[in-house]
Amino acid sequence: MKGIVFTEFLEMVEKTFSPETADQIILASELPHGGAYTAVGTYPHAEMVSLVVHLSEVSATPVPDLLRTFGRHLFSRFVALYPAFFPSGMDTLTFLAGVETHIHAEVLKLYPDAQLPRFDTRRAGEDELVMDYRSDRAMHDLAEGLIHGCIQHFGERVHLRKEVVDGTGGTCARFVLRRERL
Amino acid sequence: MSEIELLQRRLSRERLARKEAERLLEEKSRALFETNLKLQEHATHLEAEITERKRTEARFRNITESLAEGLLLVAPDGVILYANQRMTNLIGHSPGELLGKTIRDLVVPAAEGQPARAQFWEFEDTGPVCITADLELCHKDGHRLTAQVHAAPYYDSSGTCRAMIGALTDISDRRRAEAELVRLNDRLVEASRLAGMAEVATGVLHNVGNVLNSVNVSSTLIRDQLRQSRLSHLLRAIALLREHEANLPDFLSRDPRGRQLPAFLQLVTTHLQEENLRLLKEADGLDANLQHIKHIVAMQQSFARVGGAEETIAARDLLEQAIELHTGALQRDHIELIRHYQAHPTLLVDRHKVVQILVNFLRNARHALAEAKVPTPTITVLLETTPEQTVRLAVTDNGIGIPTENLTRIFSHGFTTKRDGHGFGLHSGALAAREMGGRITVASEGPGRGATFALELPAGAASRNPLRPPG
Ligand code: HEM
Repeated sequence: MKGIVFTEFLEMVEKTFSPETADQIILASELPHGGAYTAVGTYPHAEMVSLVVHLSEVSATPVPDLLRTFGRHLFSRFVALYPAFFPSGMDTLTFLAGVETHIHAEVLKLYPDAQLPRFDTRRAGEDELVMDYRSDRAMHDLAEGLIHGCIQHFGERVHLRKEVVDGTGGTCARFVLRRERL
Repeated sequence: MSEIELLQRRLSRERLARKEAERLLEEKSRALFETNLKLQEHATHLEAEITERKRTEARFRNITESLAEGLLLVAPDGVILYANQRMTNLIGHSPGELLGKTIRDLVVPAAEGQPARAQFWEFEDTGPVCITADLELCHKDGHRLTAQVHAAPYYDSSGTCRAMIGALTDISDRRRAEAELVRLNDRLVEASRLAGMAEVATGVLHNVGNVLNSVNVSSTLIRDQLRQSRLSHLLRAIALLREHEANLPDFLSRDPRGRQLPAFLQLVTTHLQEENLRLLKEADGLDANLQHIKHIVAMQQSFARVGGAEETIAARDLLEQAIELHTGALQRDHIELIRHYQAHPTLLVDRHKVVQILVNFLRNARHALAEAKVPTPTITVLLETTPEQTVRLAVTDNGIGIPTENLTRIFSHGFTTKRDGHGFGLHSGALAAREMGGRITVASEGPGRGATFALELPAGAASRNPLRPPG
């Protein structure tokens, strides 16, 4: 997993909880490099899982909630870091419909070793979008947070419903977005 | 846990992270440097390739521009994708003006009856095929021209045919020359026909001249006869009798003149009777000769018709008619004529055409003999049916003959060995023979060994056209 995910995660922990909490979960995770993450590096996905699980224990907050919160935070960071992906006139559904073909495709060019989820999207009319998430890392909660961050960024009223496909261990999920016109 | 320890740990983490980042950065820099080197290498390579490409392209452009033909690249819908400079000379429009136009914009509207070819495209089961066509084009200045186009499918690098490439040549001059040739040929054929008619007419005049000679002799004879007539003697005797009307018995018995009168009258009567008989005979001859002239003239009139209708005629009649037109000349030149009529077929032909050919044969034979000066000039006329069931009418002479190298050229247009010859007698004859479904052949064993000209025609009406109802 790309280092940026770790650095952003730890930054969020320091801000939302405390520097002590961040230090605590790093120590508890017994990481080989002592938690010295750099945004340009690449680290095992399992380290992220370990960090999140320990944060959940320390903060007595369920893992899904943590991932959703992290998703929102991460999206706001993306907006700050990659303004090129946010041209004027863009809206929530159009942006999300292009995550797979447009955004992650570009990410893959920059980092050929990136491990990205797969999104199959379908526009069911002007104000409805269906996104089918698929990833061995089963991080649909992170995706959910990212989507909420996205909705918040564009300031539209979009209703989001998530269905995790039974028996897939969370590797498959469907997001249905419906936009309300004001 | 003291705050100092925490800060120390964070600091050491940041240090480690920085070192890791620097390591990664260095790694990336090295990779970038190497990539850059490779890119430079590529760029040099590409530059060389581009230069080479440009050279090749310039050479190809030079080739297409130096071609004598106008070149057009045409899409399936007829739109022009490329034109070389030479097209401008051909049609007045510059390559720039031609781009985007369609072939249809260039062809003369009236000539649009050939749209498939005018669009360059023609398809067979296997796809587009090479075509050759003549197009009527409109020059920018308005004049018309004929261009011959050779078009071929133009395949791109993937092997698909997306255009046809056509090479155009202005053939207007050639076209005009061809038309002129046809016109000249028509005129020659017409001249030949007239010459043939003149030949027939000359023959007629000759024959009529001969007969007129006899007529002349007859009329002179009759006039002389009448001038020397014994009628005057009779008149003198009658005058004597009138003189002695008063005492005729005395005169007849006593006068010595009177006593001779009966015997004299007897003599005069006998003479007059003989004279009458002679004149009658001469008048008969005159009549026969006049009939002959009438016949000859009638025949000439039948030849004067242009392209007469076909009729069923005995082949020997045709030969005889041709011979008759030459009789005077044959006699004058002391040429012996031998007839070998080995068959008696009929022909369904235009009499005029056949007789004209035969008249030409005989004329050629006469000329060949006149030049040869042989002791026994002879023309043999042969009529036979060949094993292939064709009718063969042949004229053989023992004249100057024909060198082998001339045998093949003899039917070609304008060929002649005669000083005053037109050189189209045999050519037009050969054409006429072919029109009738037959042919003309010539044979000669060489100079000084005579020649045979033969006309071969399909036999009779039945075999000529089996579907024709009998009668
Ligand atoms: C400017 C926008 C975005 C950027 C630059 C971006 C970039 C990335 C990067 C770098 C990763 C890490 C890949 C790795 O660790 O190998 C990632 C992972 C991921 N991204 Fe995005 N992303 C963007 C927007 C989104 C959005 C809008 C969604 C949700 C719909 C999304 C869903 C995910 C998920 C779920 C993962 C985790 C990996 C997985 O589930 O397999 N991303 N993204």
